Amino acid sequence: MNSVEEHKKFAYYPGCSLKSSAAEYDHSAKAVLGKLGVELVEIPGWTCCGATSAHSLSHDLSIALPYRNLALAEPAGLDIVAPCASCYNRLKVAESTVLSDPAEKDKMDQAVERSYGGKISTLNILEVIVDRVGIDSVMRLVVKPLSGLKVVSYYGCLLARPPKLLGTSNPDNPVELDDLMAAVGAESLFWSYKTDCCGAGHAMARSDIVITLVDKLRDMAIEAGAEAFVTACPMCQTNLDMRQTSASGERLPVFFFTELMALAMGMKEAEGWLSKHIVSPFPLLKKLNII
Amino acid sequence: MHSKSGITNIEADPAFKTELESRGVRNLTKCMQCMRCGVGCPVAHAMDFTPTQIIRMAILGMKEEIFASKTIHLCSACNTCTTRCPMEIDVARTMDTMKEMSVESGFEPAERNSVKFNDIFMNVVRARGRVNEPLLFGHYKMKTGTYFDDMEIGMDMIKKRKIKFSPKAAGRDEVRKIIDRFRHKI
Ligand code: SF4
Ligand code: SF4
Repeated sequence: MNSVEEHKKFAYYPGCSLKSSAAEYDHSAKAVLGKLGVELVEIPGWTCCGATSAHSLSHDLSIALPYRNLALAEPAGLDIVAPCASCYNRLKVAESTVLSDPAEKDKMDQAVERSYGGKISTLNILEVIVDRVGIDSVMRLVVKPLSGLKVVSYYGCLLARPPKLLGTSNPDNPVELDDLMAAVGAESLFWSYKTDCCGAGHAMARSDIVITLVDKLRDMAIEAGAEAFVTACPMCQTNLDMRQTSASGERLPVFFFTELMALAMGMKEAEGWLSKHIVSPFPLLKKLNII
Repeated sequence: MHSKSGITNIEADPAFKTELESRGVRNLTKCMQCMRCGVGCPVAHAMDFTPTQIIRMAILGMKEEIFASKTIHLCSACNTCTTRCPMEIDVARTMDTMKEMSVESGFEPAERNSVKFNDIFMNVVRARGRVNEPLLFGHYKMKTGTYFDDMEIGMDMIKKRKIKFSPKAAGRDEVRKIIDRFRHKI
């Protein structure tokens, strides 16, 4: 394998959401990465990263569950790409934690009965596309620019924070989604809520909190002039898509950024993915002649 | 506890701070009550104590009040506080640590359903190696008696085929061992 090919080959960690409620993110991410020449090898035998629940119950558990996946992936020597922002966050936090603390690593080696030594690293899907593939390559594949589509890019918490453990360079104002939206011809509007919280794991037990936060995000998106959200997080997408209330205003469609990239790249499968959304994006896309 | 004078007497536990430190919480006593964590917290409106107050209470060793609070369970782990704290206090990690300690000590949580949800989530992962959403939602509703909450959303999800039974993962035996080693059953 020469170094150029190796550079665009990754271990794929889909995570549980992408295998169920966020299947359209799994499909669109794979399709777009494939089109960009990225080769993915799903980590054999991957298991749950523990998500919000593990760290709410036990710090050790929150490191051990992703640690198992890091250890499983390491022998192949490929960096991991995890499209789910929550999985990315848990894998990356585990990675930083054990690599900066030998005692923690020993504890995990014993508990997990597998070992990870830091030879590979976890990337989020925005890093893979923007840093490893490059915006230029994306632009070259656009056949149907998303002209007239006004969105706000919503990164949420998990791609940005905690910056010390994730190595985020710009936790208050990330720009990767905005740049990708510009590359596919959409207009990503400026707003101050890029990395605000949607209520995350409170969706079941305290949906009132999620509704309060989501409606605020919706109001601010409308104030910015947006007609849709674009996100890279299944939890944000689900909360925004399901919990906007209609009483105080219109409900905005919530896209995975990969779905919009696929539309701009002329992929026919995109309509099937979009039909799974709760807030239908079709009226907006038809109005703009995008589909 | 209130005395006749109306002045609150705190039953402080001086070992509490030491316990937090031994579990990896750093810099706690450097807190200067600047309130950045409390002001930026997206869930503060639903909490009974702000994150700023909780940090002060932790330093003072107000264990009972903290364990009985809504705050530790309502923290969404957004890490805004941790990112902004000028004294490098990991407020979000402190919240998690106190939540973990409260569950360990068998304290009746102020947000019972939140704790139940996390526990059931872990039961599903323990059984299957991965999350299975229909099982998670079903068990949660049974255990909490919240059958009729979110009916409309549930129907939407079924109609859009958003809920799927995903298969068991090959590594589930290893996952079970990991969970049994670290989790405190509620
Ligand atoms: S931001 Fe840090 S220093 Fe300021 S009140 Fe919160 S914990 Fe204390
Ligand atoms: S991590 Fe928790 S306490 Fe800190 S700002 Fe977010 S919700 Fe509030």
